[in-house]
Amino acid sequence: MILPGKNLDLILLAGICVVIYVLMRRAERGILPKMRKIPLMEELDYIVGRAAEMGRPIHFTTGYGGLHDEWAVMCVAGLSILGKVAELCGKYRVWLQFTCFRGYLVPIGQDILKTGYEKGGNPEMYSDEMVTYYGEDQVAYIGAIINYFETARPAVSMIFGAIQMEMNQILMQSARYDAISLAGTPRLYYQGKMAMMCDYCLLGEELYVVGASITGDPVQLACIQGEDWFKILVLVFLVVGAILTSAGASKLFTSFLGW
Amino acid sequence: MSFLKEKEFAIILFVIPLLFLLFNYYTGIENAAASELIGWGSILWNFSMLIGTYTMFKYLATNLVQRKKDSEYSIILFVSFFSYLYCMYAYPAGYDFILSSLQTPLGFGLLVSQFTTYTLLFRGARTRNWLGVLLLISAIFYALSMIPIATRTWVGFQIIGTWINNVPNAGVMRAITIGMGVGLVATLVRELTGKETHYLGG
Repeated sequence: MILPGKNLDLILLAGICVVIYVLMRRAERGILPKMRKIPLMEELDYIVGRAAEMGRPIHFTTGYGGLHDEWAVMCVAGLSILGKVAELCGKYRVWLQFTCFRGYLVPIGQDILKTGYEKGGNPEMYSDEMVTYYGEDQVAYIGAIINYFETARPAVSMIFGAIQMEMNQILMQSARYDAISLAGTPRLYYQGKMAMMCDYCLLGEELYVVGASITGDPVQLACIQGEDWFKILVLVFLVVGAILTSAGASKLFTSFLGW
Repeated sequence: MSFLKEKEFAIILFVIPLLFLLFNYYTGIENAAASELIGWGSILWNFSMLIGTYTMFKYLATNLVQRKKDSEYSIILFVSFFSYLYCMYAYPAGYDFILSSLQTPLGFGLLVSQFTTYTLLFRGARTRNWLGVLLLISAIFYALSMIPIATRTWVGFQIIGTWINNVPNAGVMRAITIGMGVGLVATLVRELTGKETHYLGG
């Protein structure tokens, strides 16, 4: 019934799903994995506090990717961080501007911000105007953000999610107006630029880790633990593959992978 | 009706097609239905644009009514939007003019400014540790390997730049790709079990 060449694929998928599910249930019972500290997480409170001292807003965007495409997982992690930032902004009475690229992110963003400001203790600060949408044209989106930086001069710029070309322009504006720049994406082509130009950045999967840790959600934390187990398995495959290939048994390994 | 407003209903709507698509991927059964289902995603995405347009118009109209700061730009947007819409259906020559003589050059104008961005990558780079310096040096070598004048000056630029791209860069790219794939599976599990509700807000 299973198509040839997809047996191992299905077994691995089912295996990782079961492992993650078991870990999720454990986490819900209170057995949480330990996470290493990430500087951005440690400093987030001070960064929002700095914006409050300066009396300037914070700009946040999740980038080009949305929830309907292959980058949904990054967008979800970005929205988790948005929730925490909104809570801190509510606590310190800072205006948080969320620019979204996708139309459906408007009500979601409004909901997240509203909840965040309520949690922060200042629900009256929330306004629907905190979420802006400029249509789904990347150039218009970038232009609008450039304009926002020119007019509002935010103290902090945050980009977390599936970032594309807009990252260049946003980081450029951050540098021009001395805004603290925070960014995080697992997207391949932006790791180097992000590492060089940001004050704090989340390289690779750190975005998922922060997205999970920042909310303290046991389900997400368990997923990170499950992912680590799976990566160990991938490493084992890599080592075994390297040994077998070096020993001249690459066909055996290839046929196993293609099972 | 109240059931339709519950999150569980939206989760069921999401999970059933997802399971069907997985079933189709592994068995190859009902390919036509799977293609149709994937097409629905695009249709739903178009509806999502309507939500965004509605929100944008509501915001701009409120600005106009309350005569807020910069509300004159809202008038420009309304006029542009409806002129564009009118031209698209009733005056194709005008539509072509807007597209090829206004929108495209404006878009290119912004894209050309990418040069400023890429030079800023070097000017604005914050090299506060040795890893940052290493990254910057690698970026310089890689950039130089792509420029004919640099490769003619010293052939080493091309050798080092190509090596950086093919060896360390390719390794890191694969590692990140694996990470992304595993992250997707983790999100899949959360969505299948109804634990991931970010797309429903809150």
